[in-house]
Amino acid sequence: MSYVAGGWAAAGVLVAVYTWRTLRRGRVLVRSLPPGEKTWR
Amino acid sequence: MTVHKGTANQLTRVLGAGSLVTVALTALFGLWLTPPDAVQGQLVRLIYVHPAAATACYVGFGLCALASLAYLWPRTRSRRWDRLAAASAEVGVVFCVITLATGSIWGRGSWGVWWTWDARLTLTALLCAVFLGYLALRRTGGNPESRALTSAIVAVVCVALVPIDHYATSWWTTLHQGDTLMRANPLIHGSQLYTMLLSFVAVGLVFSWLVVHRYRVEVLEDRFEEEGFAVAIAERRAEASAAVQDRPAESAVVGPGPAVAASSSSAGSEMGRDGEVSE
Repeated sequence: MSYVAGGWAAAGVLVAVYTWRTLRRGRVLVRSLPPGEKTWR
Repeated sequence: MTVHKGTANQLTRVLGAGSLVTVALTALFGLWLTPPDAVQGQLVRLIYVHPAAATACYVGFGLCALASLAYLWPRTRSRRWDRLAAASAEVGVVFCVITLATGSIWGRGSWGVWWTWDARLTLTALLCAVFLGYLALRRTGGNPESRALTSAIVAVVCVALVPIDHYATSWWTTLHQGDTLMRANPLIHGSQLYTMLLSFVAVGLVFSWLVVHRYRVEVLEDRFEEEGFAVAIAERRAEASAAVQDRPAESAVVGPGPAVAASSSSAGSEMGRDGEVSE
């Protein structure tokens, strides 16, 4: 059962870290835009 | 104009909520409600992560190649396709790493080794390395258009590894098992089958959600890359002209003769540096 927990945990951690990195990068970039242009469009 | 705090909108909220619900249901069924396998025992519970992650990896690289083809085709050439290729390749690499990690853990449990140079395993590792190289290529500087063109050609060539990896278990004798679902008589039934199908839906939703967010990050990065340089030059020019205006007043205290020479000299050097930046 520890291999199962390890496999699920590995997948969860990788997705969580990548999600955090992507969302944070998006927030930082939008925040860096000039006022009135704060959009990803 | 719409103001955003990040890369989220209604679409990503729906996809994110759907991902959370389906992942939670997959975990509930996969870890507790489905029975253990007659042969593999509890280890079968990894089947609700590993094949779905591998499929998402293939879809990511396939989508990258399709978007690259659309970019290469003169009639459909647009930076949008290049951004989609970048986003799907990166998310594909994440799922490729998940596939390798979960596969290695499953291999340790069932074969007794973390890694073996089996055709499927080796090709999946090679696929991961190749698309990491593709992502590294995208990070190189230079003209965005020529970089997009080179990346598109590389993606179209590299995606040939995907079918070879997929059919490796049919073409060669491998330790890795063959298809579980895509055969006349599937090897999995009942609640295990439904949970496995649910895992594909869950991972598909997570994949889509991540690709949409990553695509928007790519839009923003492109914008900063293209506009950032122009803004930096404009700021540098403003600083230089401000310095030119300030220097004569400061130098006037020292004395008229040398001050003029000093100010014109420093103004010249500022303009010279500015000229270098502009180039």
